[in-house]
Amino acid sequence: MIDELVRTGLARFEYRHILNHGPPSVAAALATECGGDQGRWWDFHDHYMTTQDFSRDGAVALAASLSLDTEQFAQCLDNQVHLELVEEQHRAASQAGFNRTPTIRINDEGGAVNDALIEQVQELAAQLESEEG
Amino acid sequence: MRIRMATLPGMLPATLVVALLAALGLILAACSSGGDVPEAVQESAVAATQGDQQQEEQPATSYRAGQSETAEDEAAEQSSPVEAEQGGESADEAGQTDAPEQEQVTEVEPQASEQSEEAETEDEPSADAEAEPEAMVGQIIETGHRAGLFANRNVVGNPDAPIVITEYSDFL
Repeated sequence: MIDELVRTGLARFEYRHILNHGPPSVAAALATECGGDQGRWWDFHDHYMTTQDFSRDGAVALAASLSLDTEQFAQCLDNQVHLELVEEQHRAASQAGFNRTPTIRINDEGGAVNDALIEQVQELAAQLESEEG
Repeated sequence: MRIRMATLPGMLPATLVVALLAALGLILAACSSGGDVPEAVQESAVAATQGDQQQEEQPATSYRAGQSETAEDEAAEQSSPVEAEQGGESADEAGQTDAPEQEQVTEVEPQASEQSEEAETEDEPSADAEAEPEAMVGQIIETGHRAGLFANRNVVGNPDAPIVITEYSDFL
């Protein structure tokens, strides 16, 4: 449903890092952001959503498979270029009380993914469509 | 001393005999050539006999004129079937030449219908107009998180969308 809303332009989807699991969470977040430097943020997102290999070599191998500049990517990882960014996102989420993952917010409202949240999105989408119609 | 040729009872006039002989010759000629002129020749022969019957008292010059007329008529009537055949052939040829034209016409008609369909589709911009934003958003989704939304790389979709779905998560 979210995918449909995004495709029709009614919604946009944003992802914020939460680092609840320590170094693996940080490694995956940093690798994703370094992949984003070369335009492949969502490839890393999708990769880490389906695999649990958070090693540096795994990240570099993924970068190579995506034909990225692996040297630049490795430097980005080693220098933790985006550490401040991912930590800031984690802090903001923690301060807002979003400790459970995943936490979904609809226009800064909502919480965990459940039927009530889905219903809320559907109602909002229907309201917008009726206003447009 | 003049010898007057009187038409005896039971004898045909000379002009009629000549006309009949001429008609017979034409019939034979037509039969030998396989043409379908007997009717025309018969008509000319009948006309000649009628003419002879009417012109029995007229001098031979009139016969010659009549002969020439009948010859012209025969020639015209002989030529008329040929012309008719030629006309038919030409008509067939015309038909043959017309047929491609008709095919061309039939070939052109679909183009015209296609053009009309194109015109109809051009008259329906609403569907395209509706599909355009969706296609644009789809393109943003397809490429946005790769390069198009590089600055907002963790964002997918319409930047001005009224619904903002935010996921706070890690990958574990």
